[in-house]
Amino acid sequence: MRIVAVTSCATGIAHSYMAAESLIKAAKAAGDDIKVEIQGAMGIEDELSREDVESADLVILAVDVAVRRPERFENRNVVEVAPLEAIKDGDAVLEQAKQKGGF
Amino acid sequence: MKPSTLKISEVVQPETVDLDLKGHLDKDSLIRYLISLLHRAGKIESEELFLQAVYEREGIGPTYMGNFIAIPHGKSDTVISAGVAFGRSAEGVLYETDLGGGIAKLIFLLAIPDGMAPEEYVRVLARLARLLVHEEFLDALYKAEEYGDVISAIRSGETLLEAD
Repeated sequence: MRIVAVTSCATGIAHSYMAAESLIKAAKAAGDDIKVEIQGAMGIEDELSREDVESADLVILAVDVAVRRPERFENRNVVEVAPLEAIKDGDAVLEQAKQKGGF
Repeated sequence: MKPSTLKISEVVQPETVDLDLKGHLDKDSLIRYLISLLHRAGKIESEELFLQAVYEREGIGPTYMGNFIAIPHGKSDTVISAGVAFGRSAEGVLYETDLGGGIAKLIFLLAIPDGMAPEEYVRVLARLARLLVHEEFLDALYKAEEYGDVISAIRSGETLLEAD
């Protein structure tokens, strides 16, 4: 399946990148397609386009602070997870997010 | 990702790596000790001011990442240039945070200068953070016998990064 995700954290340095890497690793292991946008200290990296979001089956928001440009995710299948949990166990968080998203 | 302007070996220096933390069995003395390494390496001006910055960040949310890893960090104008102190403890350090901590065996303390443009340091710190979710990299850190092993673990670990 196609997944898009956004990660962010309070200082935008450690957690947001670790959570992104962890979700990418988990998705790869599960055979899913994933694109992850990082909202960190450098602003928005690997920004998700409207097409990215619209073609995704599931949107995962792993954010500790308010997500920037939230309008992109209106009326989409959005599941929120804690960045720290995504870091600790990306596989489990991905699986839970899929279940919550109806998969 | 574009190449970083900072090299990991400039940020993680021999003076700021201690692979055998002994006698630092609580979080506070551990953090103070790692700060003293950064100070000795000329990365920060005031240990006290940087300690405050680290604890301010600790107050925002946990820096214990699970899996025996902790990444305390602080951004302050007392930081002269971006630095990382890395400590490894065989027995582990009790690393408590407001929302639950754990035993930390690999501790990275990141020092970030206040006025520095994020582009100059975030890439290199982000790479390090991303590496920490890969077991192969963690294994290499646990096996490292000296500073050079840590640096080569970081360098070879970069091939693990999926997002590049």
